[in-house]
Formats: sequence, structure tokens, C-alpha cells
Amino acid sequence: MLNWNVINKTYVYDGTFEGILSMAFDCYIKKIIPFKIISKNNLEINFLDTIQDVKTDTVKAKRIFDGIHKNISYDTLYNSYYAFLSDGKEKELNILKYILNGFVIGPKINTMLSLDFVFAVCSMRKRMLGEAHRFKRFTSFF
Amino acid sequence: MKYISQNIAISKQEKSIYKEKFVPAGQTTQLIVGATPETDLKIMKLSESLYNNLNLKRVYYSAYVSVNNDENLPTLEAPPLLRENRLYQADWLLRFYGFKIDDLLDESHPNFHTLLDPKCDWALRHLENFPVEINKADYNTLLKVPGIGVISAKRIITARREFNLNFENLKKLGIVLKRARYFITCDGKYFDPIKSFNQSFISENLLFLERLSTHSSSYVQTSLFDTLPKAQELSYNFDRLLPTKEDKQKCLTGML
Repeated sequence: MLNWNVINKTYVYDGTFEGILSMAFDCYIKKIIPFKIISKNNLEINFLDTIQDVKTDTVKAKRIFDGIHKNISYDTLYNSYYAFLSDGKEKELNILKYILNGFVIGPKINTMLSLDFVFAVCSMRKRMLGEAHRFKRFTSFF
Repeated sequence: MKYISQNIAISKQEKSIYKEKFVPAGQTTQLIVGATPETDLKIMKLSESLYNNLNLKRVYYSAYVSVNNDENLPTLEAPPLLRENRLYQADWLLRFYGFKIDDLLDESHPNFHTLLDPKCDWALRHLENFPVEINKADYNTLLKVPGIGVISAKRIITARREFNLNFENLKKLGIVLKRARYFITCDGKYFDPIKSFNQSFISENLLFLERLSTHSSSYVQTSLFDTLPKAQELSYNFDRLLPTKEDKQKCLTGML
């Protein structure tokens, strides 16, 4: 488990997977974890959160993307991408923690189901794949 | 049936020669339950032998529904749906959990328990195999714990590679502890409120849960126009546990 600083900031990203990956890059360099992550589309401004925009950088995203399947595993990449496609609660934060911990722990992260965020990501992936399957079967009628 | 199963075996060998398989989905059969006085033991023996000898994919069970009244036909008040459910539960135990029917039923208990599911019933009669240590037991032993199924057992096995599991972790992993908690230990500890490990304690608790659920199913939506005498007709044995219909009416009319 990481003992990185949880900073009291809300990160806002543009709602793409590259956005999350480049955010993971920034967090990995600074060794911090944001308090909350919101996509631009769901942004609600309130007084308590200090909001910080995170720019999507394809170069950073590519480096993280390559780093995941080089240093962690393909499964981790698939899990995090499928979880991203779902609409689970706090999916961004869970995916971010999953990726960052994955870089520290290595491929073993996939079996550590008793960690909250790993189980959350795995169950989001499962739910998303189930939903996709149902849609495919539904369209096969037409 | 024998013809089909032999031909399935033959077609498996000839798969390389012919493209089309013989009966690719396997064969199934259906047993109607409740019309004749067979015991569950006899029915399950039949389906076990069908699975073992003829490689059936599934045996389906359906409760006999009496449609016509005739002196030659058996008359049942209601189709034995609970029995059908128990048979299916036992069927799953045969196919996925590595049970044999002789473990579940014998001549002295030829029928399944009405209140407990077959696995629970089996576990209560074979308490010498329990409690199971979650962090050490192998897959097949985990499967025999009531309340732990194939998915849960696999999850436990992957999750415990890195960390020792405790009851909180199990809850997070989505494992239902309603029945399992009486039969497992985590790091040598029982689930917290469980004081003693013996048959009467466990069965009492499990049956208590069952009765609670049957009791709560008798709930009705209250309305202002419920008549009072109706409420008196229903007398509960467990009225201490939950608010009775009279209580609810008192709430409505403000007579508390």
C-alpha cells in the first residue's frame, strides 16, 4: 500500500482515458493522491473543494500506458480500461489508486482483492462486461 | 439415452473427420416430481447415475401440477415447489461441488430437510469436518462450506495469496456470511458473536433465520380500511420479534 500524501484538492479531467493516465503520471512524479477526481462534464462547483484542472497530455498518457503493460500486466490495463468504461462510483479515483499501487507492487496487484480499490475496479469491469454482453445479445435480435 | 451418449462419444473421436458434431449441445432429461411416492433419495440416485453413466448435461426437475381431476390421477393441493428447489440445489451440489448423493441422503433421511438447504443439512450432520480455516483450506474443502459457492471459493483463493483474510475482508469480497459464519474460522478465530461450536447452537440459529424470513413474508400493506377483527385472526408465535398488525393499526389510529 502506498503512503503517499492525500492532498486536499479536486482534480478535474476532460473525461477521457488519456486524461486519467496523464493524471496518474503527474501523481506518480509528485507522489500525491488527490482527494477527489471529477470529469469535466459532471463538474459541480462548490465552496469547499479546491479545484485543479489537469491537462491531458498524450505523451504522458502514452508513457503510462506503455509502462503499465511493461511493468504491471496486460490484465491491469484491461481492468482499468474496462472499469473506466463503466459508470461506477468514484471510478476515476479507484483506477488511479489501482494504477499507482500497481507500479509500486507489480503484477501481484491483480490478486490483492482484499484492497478496496482493486476489488472495486474488478467488480466494475465485471459489471461493464456483463452489460456489454447483454447489449450485444439484445442487438442480435434485429 | 444410451444410444445418444454412445454416439456422442463416437462423434468426439470422429471430430477430426467430420465437421458436424452429433448432438453438439449434449442431452438433457426432465423428471416430474411429486406425482408418485418416490423419495428424494431415489430421484437423486437416478439423476446421479444419469450424470455418471450417460454424461447428461442437465437433469431438469419439475413439480407435478395436477390439471385434471380423475380417479386415476394423483391429486395434490399445490405443486411441491419447495421440493423441486431442494432437488435442484442437490443437483448443483452433485455437478459443481463434488458431492455424492450418499453423503447428502441415506436410508434414515430419505428426503431433504424442508427448512435447511441440502448443503447446510449435510454440514450439520458432519460437523467433524468443520470449522474450516479460510486461510489454509483447499478449494474443495472451501466448496463444502454452506454459503460459499464456486465464485466465492475462487475469490477467496486468489485474495488470500497476498494477505491473510479476516471476516471484514470476506464481507468486502462479497461473500455472504449468513450461513458461512458458523462453519469457518479466520486466523483461528470464530465470527465474533459465535460463542460455541456445536450442532444444536448452529441449527437453532440457522432455523431461527429461516423462521424470521417466513414470518416477515406474512407482512401486508396496512390501510386505513383494514377491519379490526381480521387482525385478531392472525396470531403469531413470534409476535415479540416484530410489530404485529395490531401495533401498526395502533400507530395509525394513535392509540399507543
